Amino acid sequence: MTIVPQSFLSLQDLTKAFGKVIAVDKVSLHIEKGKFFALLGPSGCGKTTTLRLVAGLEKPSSGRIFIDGRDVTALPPQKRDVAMVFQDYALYPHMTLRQNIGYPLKVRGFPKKSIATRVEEVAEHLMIADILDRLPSQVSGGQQQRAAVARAIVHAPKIFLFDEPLSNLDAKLRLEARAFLKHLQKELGITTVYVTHDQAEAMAMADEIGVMFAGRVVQVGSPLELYRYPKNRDVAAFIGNPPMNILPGRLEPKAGGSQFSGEGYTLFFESIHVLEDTRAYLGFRPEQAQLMCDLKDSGIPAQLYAVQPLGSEVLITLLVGTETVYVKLYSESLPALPDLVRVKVDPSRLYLFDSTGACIKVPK
Amino acid sequence: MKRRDYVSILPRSVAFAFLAPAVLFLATFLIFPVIWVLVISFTNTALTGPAGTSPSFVGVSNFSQLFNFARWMRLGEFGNALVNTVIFVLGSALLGQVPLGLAIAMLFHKRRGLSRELVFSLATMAWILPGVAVAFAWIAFLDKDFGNLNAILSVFGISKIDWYFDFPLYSIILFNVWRGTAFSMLLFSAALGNIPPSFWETADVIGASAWQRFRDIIFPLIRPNLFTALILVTLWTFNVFTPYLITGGGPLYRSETVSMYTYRIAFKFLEFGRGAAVAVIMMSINFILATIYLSLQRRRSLYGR
Ligand SMILES: Nc1ncnc2c1ncn2[C@@H]1O[C@H](COP(=O)(O)OP(=O)(O)OP(=O)(O)O)[C@@H](O)[C@H]1O
Ligand SMILES: [Mg+2]
Repeated sequence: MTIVPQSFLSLQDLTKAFGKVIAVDKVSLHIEKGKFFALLGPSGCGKTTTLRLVAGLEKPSSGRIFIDGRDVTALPPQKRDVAMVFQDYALYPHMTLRQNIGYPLKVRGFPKKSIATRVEEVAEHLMIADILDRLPSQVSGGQQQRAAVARAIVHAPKIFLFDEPLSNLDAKLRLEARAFLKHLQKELGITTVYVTHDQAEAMAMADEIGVMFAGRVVQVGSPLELYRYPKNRDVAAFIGNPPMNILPGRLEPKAGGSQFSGEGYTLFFESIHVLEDTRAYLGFRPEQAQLMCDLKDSGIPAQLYAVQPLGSEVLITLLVGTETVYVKLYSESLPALPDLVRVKVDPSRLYLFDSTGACIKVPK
Repeated sequence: MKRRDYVSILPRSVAFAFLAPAVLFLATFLIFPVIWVLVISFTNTALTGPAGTSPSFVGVSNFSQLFNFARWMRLGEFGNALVNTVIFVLGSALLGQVPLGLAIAMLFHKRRGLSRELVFSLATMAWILPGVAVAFAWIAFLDKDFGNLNAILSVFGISKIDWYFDFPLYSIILFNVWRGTAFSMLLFSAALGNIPPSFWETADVIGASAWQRFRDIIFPLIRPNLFTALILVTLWTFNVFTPYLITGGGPLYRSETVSMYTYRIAFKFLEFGRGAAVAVIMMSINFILATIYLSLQRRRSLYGR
């Protein structure tokens, strides 16, 4: 007997192997109705494969998929009532945008008149109504992307699947498209799975993010949860712009807590207890560090590498030993810095990861 | 494009010097023979008989003999060969090789593996083996008493058929389909491979049936390749000579095509003047087909697809 899950889209122990390569490894996800879920991870971690499993374009090696309380694991794509937008948009080059957008309705045998009305309606909504009679090659990348989205929403699917739909756009268009897609998703309330390797995109758009590494979903949470409470070093080093600074060192037991020793500095942690001297990693966010020019100050000794003004903030690159460390200062003017500085972080803002990479201390 | 658009890395004279061998080669082996054929098509040149020693100009009489409508449809005449050729081309190229090649390519597009390798290897082998060898194999294959085809058909209770005598033209059509399908198959296979997988998959997710997908998406995308295949295969089939090795154009000229007819007049009867006239007609037809093909190619490259 299988237990039908409560959530709208459920993946249970989903596994997909291509020969010896295990692309998706026992992935379980539960996504509520109407939510914008982002699947985030580095290249080759199995995001696309997971999405294709949901779409029905790949057959899982094991595990089940439920959509709206129905087991769809064995169903072909067209019976799952999902819509997918591919990275290359897959607009048919010989059809006008009008024909492209209307195609899912045509296939379903809708009468010509109602197709025409519905296409106009959707196109109006996505602000491409005036270019409907052009071919995909005759419109801009951003307009192609809208047309692909229009084709996906035209028949009101249960689930939207996006595979890196913004990666072909330039930086400015991408920002616009992010806002546009997020707005549209909220308005239509269609449950969405959105695959991306860009953490900023995932953070900006999603209600919930699943972080994937090497075929496994390592952590699921809201953008803020992932930012504040990363489960392990991989997640911490993946999220944030720039991501968290991570420095190797050793952790040893001391009276009343433990002591972390890195390259030329030691830090004492009251609440952390270890049994013996082990490898460990110190973590802190670039935006939560400060720089001290006075070398007598306590803190992590660092060498100045580069200073990049970004407008409202300044990004400073430093070297601690051989490790690169970023510090973000919220100041418009360029600070005058000596070659050797100290990086200071409020102890409550520090993270610690044990030798396996698991997080053992988060900010309070 | 204006000449200015090219950056010249060599002086003109040197460029011409490099071109000269190719031009000379073409002139010797292509342009000159064509002109020669054209010239003697208006003469009664022959190896034997009175014209053999002193050929003379006969005007268009060679051509008017070919198109002598009172008798040109009789067996062994030019009209008969022309009709046979049309049937042969229609049957083996337009109805045979091209649709069959497309069907095989579609069937195996997503099906990698042993069966695909087997079918592709066999088809390609049929295409590249020497004509003399395959012709001999087909003579054996179609033999009334000992041939494999009749042996296979007898399993289905069909009695022995004398293929050469009763169906000579169908026999060489069948042979030519077998022989040449590989080209269309490989061409379409490559064309299908050029369609991004996301196009197929979008159609799958949308829910298009196999027929809808073919009609609305695949067919329009491979239409340029279809034209290429149709024209090239027509051209080749029109000129092909290998079937001669199987039927010799017989029995009683019933499977004689224009190329066999030309061969017979020119090299068996040794009437070069008449043979040249047929060759000129063949070349004209080839020229028209090639022009259509090239202009299609050019138009396609203009639109970038
Ligand atoms: N059809 C396939 N056959 C064999 N291996 C595959 C196939 N598809 C994917 N893989 C492998 O599975 C792993 C995951 O691939 P997938 O495309 O899901 O990654 P991804 O997270 O989408 O990466 P990217 O961000 O680069 O798109 C990779 O190691 C890939 O090489
Ligand atoms: Mg991918």
